[in-house]
Amino acid sequence: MKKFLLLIFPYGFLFSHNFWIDYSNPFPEKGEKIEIYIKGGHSFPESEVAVKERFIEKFFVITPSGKEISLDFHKKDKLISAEFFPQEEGTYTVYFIFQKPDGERFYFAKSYFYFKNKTEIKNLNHELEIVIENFNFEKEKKINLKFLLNKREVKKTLEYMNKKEHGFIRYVPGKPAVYKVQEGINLILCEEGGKSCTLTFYGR
Amino acid sequence: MHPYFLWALILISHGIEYEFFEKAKGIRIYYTDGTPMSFANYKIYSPDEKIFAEGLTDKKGRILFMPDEKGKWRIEVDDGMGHGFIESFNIEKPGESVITHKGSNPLYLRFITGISLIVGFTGIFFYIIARKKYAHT
Repeated sequence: MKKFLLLIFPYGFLFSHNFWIDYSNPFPEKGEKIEIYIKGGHSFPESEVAVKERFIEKFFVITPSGKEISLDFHKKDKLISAEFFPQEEGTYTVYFIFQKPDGERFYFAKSYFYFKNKTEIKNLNHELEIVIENFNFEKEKKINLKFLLNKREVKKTLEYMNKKEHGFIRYVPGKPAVYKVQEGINLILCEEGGKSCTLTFYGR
Repeated sequence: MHPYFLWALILISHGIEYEFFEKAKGIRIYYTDGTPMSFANYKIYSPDEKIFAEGLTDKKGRILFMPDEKGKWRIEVDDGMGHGFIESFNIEKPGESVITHKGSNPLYLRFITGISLIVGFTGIFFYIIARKKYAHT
């Protein structure tokens, strides 16, 4: 009964569109340009909706050495696109924040990709954030997920989508939610108080 | 009449007046979970298919406007996040405004503003002339 209810309740927010970060090539080679996307809709991994640009407060890349680079983006059909040339070796963090005209931030998305070598991943300390432990992009590996609300661990039902399946895992402080990385893009998402956050990464 | 007063009169013609009124037509838009569709783009078309009003819904997902003729009106809303709708609605009785308060910039203030602007611009003009003369000598 508990599992049944766990499946039913989160469907309330399935009717709102999801937004996530994706790439033209999540494992770039030296000198290779990648396109970083903000995708949206209900048909993950395909994008149905290009969010209106006026909502995008921030769209940044953080390099392995910690430098923050603002991405120059534009609408491209049904998504938002930006070009980036990774120079440093290591793991990059990409994020966007959506904001309403009155200043209220309502969407926080984060993603990781690496160039040549994998280095330590970084958290962003956003209002809402899904945090990963034991992560190295390897498919079939189990990783621990946590949900932070204003930097505090809070229990939350996390939704996940990948090439293989679509499901839910429960996070409770002190007992991380275990997720098995799948090949291809992995999306983890949740909502809290009318705000949403997503996390994407590729497994290989 | 001295030129300064002529310019001041011209500046007075660009004053502002305003009226507060009641009894506007209102629409409130929200998502199925009750969250208001705040700051969404909207366009309202009058019966002759011309844009009558456009803008953003307010923080609570509301639009207020004063239709001025009977007939079939249309509203289009787009939240910029993939949700929106188009809806037609009939207006039987165009809104009858009840003016509760009027105001404007007082005439004497506008006159003083006009004179101040003239004096200010004149001062800047002569300052530039003086600087050029000083540089030359």
